[in-house]
Amino acid sequence: MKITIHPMEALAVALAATALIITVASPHQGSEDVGPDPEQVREGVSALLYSTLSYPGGATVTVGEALLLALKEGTVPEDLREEVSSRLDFLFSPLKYQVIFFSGEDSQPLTFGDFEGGQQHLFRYTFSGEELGVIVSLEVR
Amino acid sequence: MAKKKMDSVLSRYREVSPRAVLLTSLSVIVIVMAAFRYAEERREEVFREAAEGEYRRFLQEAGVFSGGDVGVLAINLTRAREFAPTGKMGIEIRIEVYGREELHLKKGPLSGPYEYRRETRLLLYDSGVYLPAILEFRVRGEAP
Repeated sequence: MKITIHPMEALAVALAATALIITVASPHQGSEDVGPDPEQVREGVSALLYSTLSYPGGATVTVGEALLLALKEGTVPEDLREEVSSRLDFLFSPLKYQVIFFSGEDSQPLTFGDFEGGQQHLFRYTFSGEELGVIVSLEVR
Repeated sequence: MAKKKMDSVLSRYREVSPRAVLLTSLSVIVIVMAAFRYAEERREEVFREAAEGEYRRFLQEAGVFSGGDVGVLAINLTRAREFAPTGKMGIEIRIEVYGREELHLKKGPLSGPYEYRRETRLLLYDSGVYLPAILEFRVRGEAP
């Protein structure tokens, strides 16, 4: 079977195909994604670690420094654990999470939350010359 | 003479097949649609850039500073309340600390075809203490 095509038809088909490709291939600017992207998780962890705790008598200390001290001593005061848990709940809610703080090789890591798997992030911070590592596991929805 | 000329013009039109006319019309429609879509996306992009500019200006004017090399920002509530949007954009700012709303500002007309939302985790400076907070920044309006 022989198919004949008019030059005008060929031109029209080419035009239509080009227009379709331009329409389909042009990137669509969607709305801002507010999901737990790594930058947002980092913002949350930073906000936690640099936030302060005030003690009776007016002394203040950052959560990062308090956690480093707890890691060194090997015990976490109950009020510190509750305060950190409460701040983590606020920052990562409604997602399930697990956050592990560690420093050096000798100290036992501190774990908050019981979620395992999901999206994992590793961040490193320095407080008074000492390194504090943070591993965050976040539920992906 | 005139009839002869008209016949000659008509015969030229008859040479174009209906299929070609249909396809050309369709392609013209698609091209026009693509042009409209491109223009709309461009307007959205311009609005988004303007809204991001407002967000950055808010961070600068609300007394935000870096908490070190981690990019942590803290907001001064008094300065935040003084922030005013520019252009044909309305702005809504919410700062929440542990489920408690510390600041809820609405400035300018919150109406228009485009919207920009941003949620940032940062520190709220309050009476010598830094608390982790969530800043919701919403801009609604027209492209400048």
